[in-house]
Amino acid sequence: MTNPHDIDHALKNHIAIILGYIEVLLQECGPDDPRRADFDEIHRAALAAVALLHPDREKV
Amino acid sequence: MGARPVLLVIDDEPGMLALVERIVRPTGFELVLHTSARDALAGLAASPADVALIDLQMPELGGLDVLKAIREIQPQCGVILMTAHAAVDSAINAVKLGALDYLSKPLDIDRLRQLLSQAREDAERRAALLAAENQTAHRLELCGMIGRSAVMQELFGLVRRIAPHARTALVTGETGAGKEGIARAIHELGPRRQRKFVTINCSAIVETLFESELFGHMRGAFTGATDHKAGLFEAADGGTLFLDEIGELPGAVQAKLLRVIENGEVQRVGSMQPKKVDVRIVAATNRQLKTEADAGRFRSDLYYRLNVIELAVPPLRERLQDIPYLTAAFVEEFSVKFHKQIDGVSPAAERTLMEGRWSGNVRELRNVLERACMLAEGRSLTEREIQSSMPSTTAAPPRSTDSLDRRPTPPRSDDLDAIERDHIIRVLAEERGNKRAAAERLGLSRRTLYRRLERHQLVPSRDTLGSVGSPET
Repeated sequence: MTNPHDIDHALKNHIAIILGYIEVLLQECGPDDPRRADFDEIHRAALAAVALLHPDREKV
Repeated sequence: MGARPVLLVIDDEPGMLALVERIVRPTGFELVLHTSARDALAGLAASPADVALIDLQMPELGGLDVLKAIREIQPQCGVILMTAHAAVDSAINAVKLGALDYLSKPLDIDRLRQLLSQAREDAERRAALLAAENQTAHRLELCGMIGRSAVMQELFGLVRRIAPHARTALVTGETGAGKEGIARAIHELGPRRQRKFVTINCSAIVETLFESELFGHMRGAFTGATDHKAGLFEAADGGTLFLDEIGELPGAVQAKLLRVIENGEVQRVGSMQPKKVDVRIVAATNRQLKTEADAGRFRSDLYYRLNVIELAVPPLRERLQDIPYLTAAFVEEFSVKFHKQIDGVSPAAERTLMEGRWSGNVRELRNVLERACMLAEGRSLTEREIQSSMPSTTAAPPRSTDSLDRRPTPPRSDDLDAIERDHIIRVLAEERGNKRAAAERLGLSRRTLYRRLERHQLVPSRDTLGSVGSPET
């Protein structure tokens, strides 16, 4: 896989999985859950990674 | 629909399947997960889904092609596409092709859950609607016959009113319209419902045996009469005798039948002793018996005797609005018979059914749906399955003008039986089910034609001593 477009696509898929899981975990844990701060960190980083891939992709 | 709605998920990335499972599990959907679109489509016919969630970019088969395939195999299944490369073109394409929605990755979890609960509500509403329609249909039935149309409701009302009283009745209507069903209903709704309902098809009996069949014979009355035998009148004593195709009754027998109706007595062939019988007579014909009587081919005194009450069963083309309900009932019947899960027909298939010529009426509709159910691969019958089950007669080929050559067209296959069957079907349809005209064109006697029809299972083969048959035929 050398085409930058393909790499882009695969990477985005994987980050989407990370993001999806972390969002599920965030929804499941209560506001006082001690893990919440860690989940928030992962969530922020994953969002930043997605934004990096396509800073101005058209949203549908 | 089963207890739990089914969600089919197709994505070549296993991690995405696991994520969707994690998101969807609590919503009560049963999940079917596939990394291969081909495998998923292959399994769809056997285990149908209510909703499908499909990745747009997959190596072996793109999401749009999968969408098209699902629309074909199982039109009721709602399809949601998802993609890491959201693009306006493919989104518009997807919606044009009938997708419910188009989600971009990373997935908006709340949006996905909302879509699924919406799809679920739709599926439940459809199921409830179907159940409600079935219930309504039951109220509009008469002894298993479905008739929601005004003409059939009127007929059912007439049957209910006369059934407790009438001693004789005449049922008229085209072939396959449901004359026997009406005759049975008269029996079932009358005071004799606990007694026998005996059927005889007058066109299926050899002329010389009529008397003996109807009235019985004594030993030695004629060659071959090795024993005493009761006729159908005696067999039906206390009950109902259904004389189908009464127009085919030979003249001599017509006279004797009239006497039995008038005196309530039968005399076995070879016996001097009359015997009292108490039989309600329901006769049926697809001919214009009045015209036959006027032309001297049918005894007019017998005609008037039978025609105390005439129940005219309308042809299917005059009760088109019944087709969806008949279809639903037949599809249900055959899906059970063939152990298939078929819920109904696609909208395009229904249109095809509504536009059919149906010269063979309800019986023909039933046969077409039986074949279509046999062929069916998905959860609903497709237009193509219906069309390939309809006889080629829907588009009638030109008639042979050469009166000397009425033999079948040259065979194209080695199966002579199949050729004969197809040819008979075609000629019958061209003659709008008129067996006399068809027999003439085929160069057969009516009785021979009738035997061929039975051999090719083109009519329900019936015992002369009637037992319960299917309604509507």
